[in-house]
Amino acid sequence: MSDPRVPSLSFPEGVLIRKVGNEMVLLNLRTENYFGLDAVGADIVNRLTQAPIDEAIEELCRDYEVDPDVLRSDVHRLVAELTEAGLLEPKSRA
Amino acid sequence: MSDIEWPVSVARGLKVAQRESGLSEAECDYRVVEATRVALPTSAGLEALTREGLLWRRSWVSPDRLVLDFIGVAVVEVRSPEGSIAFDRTLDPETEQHLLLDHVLPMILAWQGEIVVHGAVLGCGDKAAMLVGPSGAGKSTLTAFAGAKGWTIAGDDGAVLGLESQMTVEPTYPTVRLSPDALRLLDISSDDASSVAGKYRLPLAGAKSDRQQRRALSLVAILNAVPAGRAATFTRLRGVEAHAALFGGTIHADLRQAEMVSHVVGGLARVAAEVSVGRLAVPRGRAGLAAAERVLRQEMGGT
Repeated sequence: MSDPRVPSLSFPEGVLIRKVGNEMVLLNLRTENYFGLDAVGADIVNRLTQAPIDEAIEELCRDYEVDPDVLRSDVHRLVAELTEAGLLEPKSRA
Repeated sequence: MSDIEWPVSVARGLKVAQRESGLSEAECDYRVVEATRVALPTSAGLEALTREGLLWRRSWVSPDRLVLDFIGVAVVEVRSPEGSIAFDRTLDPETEQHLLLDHVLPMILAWQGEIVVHGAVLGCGDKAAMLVGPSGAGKSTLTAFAGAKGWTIAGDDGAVLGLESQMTVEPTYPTVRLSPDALRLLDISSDDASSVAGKYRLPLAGAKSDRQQRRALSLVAILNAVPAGRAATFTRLRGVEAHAALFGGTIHADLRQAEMVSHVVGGLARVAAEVSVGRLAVPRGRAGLAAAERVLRQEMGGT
C-alpha cells in the first residue's frame, strides 16, 4: 500500500521556484515559461506538492470556506495550466 | 567619434571607452582584437525577438566564451579569461561602437553574474530612479527631458543592480541616445551629437564622477506610453506583478543556467520587496513628458 501522504505532484527538474513575499514565481529554465502565483495560488501549489491531491483539496476547502466543487474545479484547472507549461508534473512513485 | 565616457567598472576595456578614459590595455578586462572568423556553436542559442516577432540576435554562453550573433550584422565572440572581443568582420566605427556599448557590454555584465536591466538611470541627489521598458518605450526621451529639469542623467540604456545592504543602481555606461523624432520633440539640436545607428548620442552635462556614481535605488518606473491628453499616473505594483515586470525587462545571458537565473530571480525579488515599483503612464507629447516628470519627482519625494 502506498504512503497516503505522498504528494501527487512535484516540480519537474529544471523548474526554478522562488517565493516573493507570500506569492510565488515559477520559471521553467528549459522552455523559459515564467509563471507568477498570487498568495492563494502559491498556497494551493505548496499543498499540492506536499500531499495527495484529494487530501490537499480537502484541506483547502476547510481553510478557505469555499464551495468544494468550485475549489476542486479551480484546482484542477490550475494544475492543468501549470502541467502544460512544464511547471508541475505527476510525482513518480519509486 | 563622440565623447564616450567610461562604463561601469565591472566590464572594462572596450576599445572606445578605453581610448576616452586614458587607461592602458593592461588595465582593461577586455579588449577588442582583430576581426576573425567566429565559429557558431552547433547547439540552439538563446533567441531574442523584436516586438514584431523577428529574430534579431542569438546568443550562446559557456564558462569561458560568449557568442552573440547579431543577425545579418555581425557575429561577436567574447573570451574570458583572455579578455578578448572579436568581431567576424570589420564594421564601420559607428556600428561597432553601437554594438559594443549598447549590446555586447550589457551581455558581458549579465554573463559575469550582474543583474542588468534594460533601463535608464536618473539620479536625484544620492538616490536614483530606474525607468524600465523595451526599445521604443520612451526611456531615452523621458530621461533627456528629466535631465533638463535638474535630474542627473546617469544613462539611458542599461542599468546594473547592486545587492548590498541597500539596493543600488548604476548605468552600464553614461549615455543618452535620441531618435530624430525625440530631438525634434525636445527641441534639441543634433549639432553636438554623434550619429549612432539611426539615433544621436548626446554629450552629457555635469561631472563624469556624478554620472558614474552608484546610487541607492529608490524607484522603478515601468514605462507605458498612453495617448496625449491622458493623465500621467504611477500605479504601484507589488509582489509577483512587480517581479514579472522587472523580469521581463532584465537582460539574460543564459536562461538555462540555474545558478545564474536563480541569482537574478532572487535579486529581483528583493527589488520587488524593498523598492517602490510601479507602472508610469507617460502621455505622448511634450506636455505628457512634463506631467510624467512631475509624477516621477513626486514619487521620489515619497521614497
